[in-house]
Order: sequence, then C-alpha cells, then structure tokens
Amino acid sequence: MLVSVRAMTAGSIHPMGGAGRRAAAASRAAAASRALATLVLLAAAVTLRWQIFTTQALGGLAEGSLFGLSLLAVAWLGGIRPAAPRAASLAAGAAAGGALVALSLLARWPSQPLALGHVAPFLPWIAVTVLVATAEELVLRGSLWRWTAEAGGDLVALLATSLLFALIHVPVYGWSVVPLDLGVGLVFGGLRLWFGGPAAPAAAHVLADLATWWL
Amino acid sequence: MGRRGLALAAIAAGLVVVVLAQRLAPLAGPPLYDGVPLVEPYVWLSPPPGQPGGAQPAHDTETDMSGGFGVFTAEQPPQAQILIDPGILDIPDGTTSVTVSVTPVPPPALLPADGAITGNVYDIEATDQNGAPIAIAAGSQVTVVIRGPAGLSSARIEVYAGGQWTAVETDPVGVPDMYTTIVGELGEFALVKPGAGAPAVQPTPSPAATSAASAGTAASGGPVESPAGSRAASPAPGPTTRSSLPASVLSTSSGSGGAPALPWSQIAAVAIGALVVLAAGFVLLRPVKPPAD
Repeated sequence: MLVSVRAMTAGSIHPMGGAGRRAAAASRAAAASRALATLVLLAAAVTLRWQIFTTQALGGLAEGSLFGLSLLAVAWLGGIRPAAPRAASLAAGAAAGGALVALSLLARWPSQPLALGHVAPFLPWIAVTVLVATAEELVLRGSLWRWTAEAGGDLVALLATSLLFALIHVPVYGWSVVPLDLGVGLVFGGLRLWFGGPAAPAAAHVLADLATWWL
Repeated sequence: MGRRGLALAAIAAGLVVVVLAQRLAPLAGPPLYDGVPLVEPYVWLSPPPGQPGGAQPAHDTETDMSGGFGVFTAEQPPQAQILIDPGILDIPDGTTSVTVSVTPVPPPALLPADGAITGNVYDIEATDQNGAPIAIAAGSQVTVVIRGPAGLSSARIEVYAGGQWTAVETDPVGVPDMYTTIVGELGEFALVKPGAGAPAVQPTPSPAATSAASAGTAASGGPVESPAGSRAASPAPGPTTRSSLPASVLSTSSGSGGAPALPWSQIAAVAIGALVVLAAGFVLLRPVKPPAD
C-alpha cells in the first residue's frame, strides 16, 4: 500500500488499475442510468400534474396530493427510504427558509404581493403543501442528487438539480419564475451539500411554501 | 474546492440570484416557489345557464398619494387585480384624492380579431376626486392580473384602449386560469383565448350586421365588431352604449358558456403512460441503501 501511494504520488501509476477503472466507470454508468430513470419518472409526475392543472380534473388539494404521492413513489424507486432527520439539518433548513422568505419580501419592497387567495381549510392545505415540498426535495435533493453526484460529482448534481427545480415549476408558473427558482435551487443544493441529505433543503422548502398562505 | 466550500458558494450564489431575480425581473408570480393553488368557481357579470353570477367591482381611494395601490375584486382568488407601486401614477397638481377601480363591464363592440374573449372584461382606471382620468407616468408600469373561467389551457391578456385591442406579454401566475402582465397603460382588460380564429361572441346578427360580417373582416384578420346592439365600434365620438350581448356568450372556444368538457382521454393516456414509466422505473431502480438523513 505504501508503495502504491508513493507511486501514485510520483504519477507513474494510475490510482486504480485497469480493473479498478473499469469498475469505477461501470459504477458511474450505472449511477447515470439511475439518474436518467429518475429524471424520466420525475418528468412523468410533472406531466401528470400539468395535465390535471390545465384541465382542472381535480381540485387543488387532490391535485397536490396526487403530485406529492407520485413524487414520493419516484423517490422510493430512486432509493430513498424513511429515516429520522438530524435536528441540526432541520434547524438549519428552517433558518434558511426563513431567510429566503425575508429576502423575498425585502427584495420586492415596496411592491405588493399578488392576492392568490385560498379556498380550503388551513390544515388540509398545510398537509398537502408539506407533502409536495418534501416530496420534491426527496426526489431532487434525494435520489436524483445521489445518482447524479455518483455519476458526475457534486458540482454536476448541484447544477442539474437546481436547473430541474426551476424547470419543474414552469408548466404551472411560467418561464418568468425560472431565475428565482434557479437561485432557490442553488440555496437548497448548498444545504444538501453541507448536511449530506435532503432534510435541510426539505425544511427550508416547506417553510418557504407555507409562507405563501400569509404572503 | 471542498464540499463545504462548494456548499457555501452555492448558498451565496443562490441568495444573490434570488435578490437579483426579484429586483430585475419583477414579473408578478408566486410569492416564493410553489404552493397548492385553490380556486373558487368563476363568477360572471352575466352568467351563462348554471354558472354563478354577481361579479363585483372593487376600488381604493387614497388621499395620501405617496403610497401605492393594490385593488382586488372580492373573489378567491380575485378575478381581477391591479398593483401600482408608489410614484407610478402621473398625478396632476391640485389632486386631493386618487381612486383606482376595477369594474367588470360588458365587452366593447369591437372585439379582438385574434381570438375569443374568455370571461369578464374588466375596466381598470385611475381617477381624481372629480372623476378625471389619471394616467400612468411615462416609462412606468403596473401589474395587472386577470383570472378566467375554468378550463383555460392557454390565454393571453389583451387591453382595449384607444379604440383597439392590444395583446400584451402574459405569464401564468400559478393559479389555474390566472394570468398576469405588466403594462404601461390602463383600459379594459380581458383574457383572450388565442387561435380561435373568430370571436366567441356570435349572436344572431341583424341584417345590417350580416352584411357587415360578410365584408370579411374576421377572415381578413382585421378588427371584428360585435354586430348587434353594440356601441360604436370606432373610436369616433358617439354613443358609448355597450354591447347588449350578455357576457354569458363570452366563453371558451366552444362558445357554450358552460364548463368545458374534460379531456378524459388525454388524462387517461397520461395516467397510463405514468404507470408504464413507473413500472419501468421499478425494474430499473432497485432499492438501495438510503443516503444520510
């Protein structure tokens, strides 16, 4: 081992032998295929939501529930399993979510926010909003991040999931929200990187979405 | 750069982008990132059979002109709203109060040539204490949001001012059938379903109107006039009586005025496709050890 390390330092031998390189390449390819499959599943869930949204085949709560459950299924298929989050992750995520809400208000001041209205009981709305926000994070910063990072590294995962975060909102909100959601995706990605899991970005996302009830 | 360094860089860059996005491109959209949109049924000025009526106006009067205006109709979510930032209105000297109003009105006689009006037409205006109109200051803009009846797959906002309809850049808000625009003038705003080829207002025309219609204005893409009982189509001085056509005939391209039929075949196809993809994903993606957290 010592010899190998010295040899690698000298640059005379590749860190891994031919078999090791082949194994690493195969692992990356497998991760890339999983990332691609997760992406296809995510696209299917977004398309389903878009169809329901445009046709109004279901009400807002039912639409959100179906979308959230679809995403949970995608996250499950992508390898995510229930696990207790660390308190530090949740606390940091909540702080980041609060900061984003405050920043959003300050950046728009003195413009007034739109009146989007709510026609649903508060608690069911909270439940569905938490479901959708959490499920989005479990897919994007959970399974998709993991496979993308394994295939291409953290930077690729950060950029890919941030871009996807912006794009999945386009069918409902239009292209105008892409810059904002891209920035938010970077923040969520940074939280994912720092804490090593989707709990922190999920907490931030949930808090930011819940704020829309009052804003 | 290490993982934590990249994390900090991403958070910092993201925050900068968030601020820039909302300062430089303040298109009205969702306050933050997502939500669960919930919508009441559309309320008509003159409802089609079986549809709720009672669309109401809204207004806001301010004597302190240093503030902004946000006027919303009472529906949830509002069917029409206008947001005016401070200093946007060109307020003449001597003005003691400003009223911004949003009023559902019957459509003007001249209809958009490039589509069908969908839902109510809203007259949005600012006036002083004497009722004299107040314009938007040169180079300034306001945000207008219009919601239409259920089932709009796409629509754009058009504004009727100076005797003509003008399509304006339109973005969806994130609530079904709700669209927003930023404009530099006030007037009558409506959602127009593009590509209909002819306006949805198609009452039984009078003989005179029939001859006018046969002139081919619609086919040629020119302005289309509402044929019967309408106010003068041209901006020339004259009676300003509005079209006697009930707003109920303004609807989606079906022209029926009722709720559009749901494309169940499309929904079923998408659902089946999603199931197929999920099944394929089940095969491709084996359960693995969960990541941290």
